[in-house]
Amino acid sequence: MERAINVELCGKLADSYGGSVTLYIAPCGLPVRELFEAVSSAYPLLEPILASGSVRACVNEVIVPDHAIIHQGDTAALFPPVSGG
Amino acid sequence: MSTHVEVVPAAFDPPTCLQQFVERIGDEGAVVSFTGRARGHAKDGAGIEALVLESYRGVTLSSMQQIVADTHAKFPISASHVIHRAGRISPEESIVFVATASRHRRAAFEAADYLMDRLKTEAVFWKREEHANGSTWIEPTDADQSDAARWLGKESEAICPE
Repeated sequence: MERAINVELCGKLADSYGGSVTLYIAPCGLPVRELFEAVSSAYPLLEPILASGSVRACVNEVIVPDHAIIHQGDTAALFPPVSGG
Repeated sequence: MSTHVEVVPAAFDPPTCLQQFVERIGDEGAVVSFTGRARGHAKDGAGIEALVLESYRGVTLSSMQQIVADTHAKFPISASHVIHRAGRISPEESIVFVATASRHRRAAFEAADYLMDRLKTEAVFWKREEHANGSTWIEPTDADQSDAARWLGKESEAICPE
């Protein structure tokens, strides 16, 4: 059964839809690369920056590669390039 | 190795930070500190009402802790102290405080310089300037990137007692 997760949007990613968006993922999870596609499809204003290759996914407070799997109950976020301090 | 790394949501007092640092470094002969403050004007001269630094959960602190660990691995310093502000920062308020201590001065100077170059380009913050007409996201400048690149492959020369 699919369950909703909130994907937090950091930095300029939050300009269009606010600080988080909702996605539904299956019990088997969702690879990060498919997360990008799902977010782009459901929230098209984010598609250009997600397609740029510069956005990183963060799952449970760890920046993960594109082949990582997001599971139900995980805390997920998308990071645009950092500004630094 | 003695470190203190912190992200704070409200204004802090650099002289107090320095005093706290000095109290825990024993008889080290060199202490270097740096304070970065929010400017009131952007590069084009336009007024800035505030600088907003967005952090993310524990990831921001972890990124700073990694930079501090790398600094201690690279330079012969015995202690460091890093305080970084997050949230909405008014002009003239402090953004970052960095202090390093070592037996001799060169290591403390270089380690503080290195720490700041890494923090300016790699610490997990997203930064925007608020001004009268809205806000602008800020990314590391070419100068920030080239400052950080100075250290790539550079071995510490901070071994000479000065």
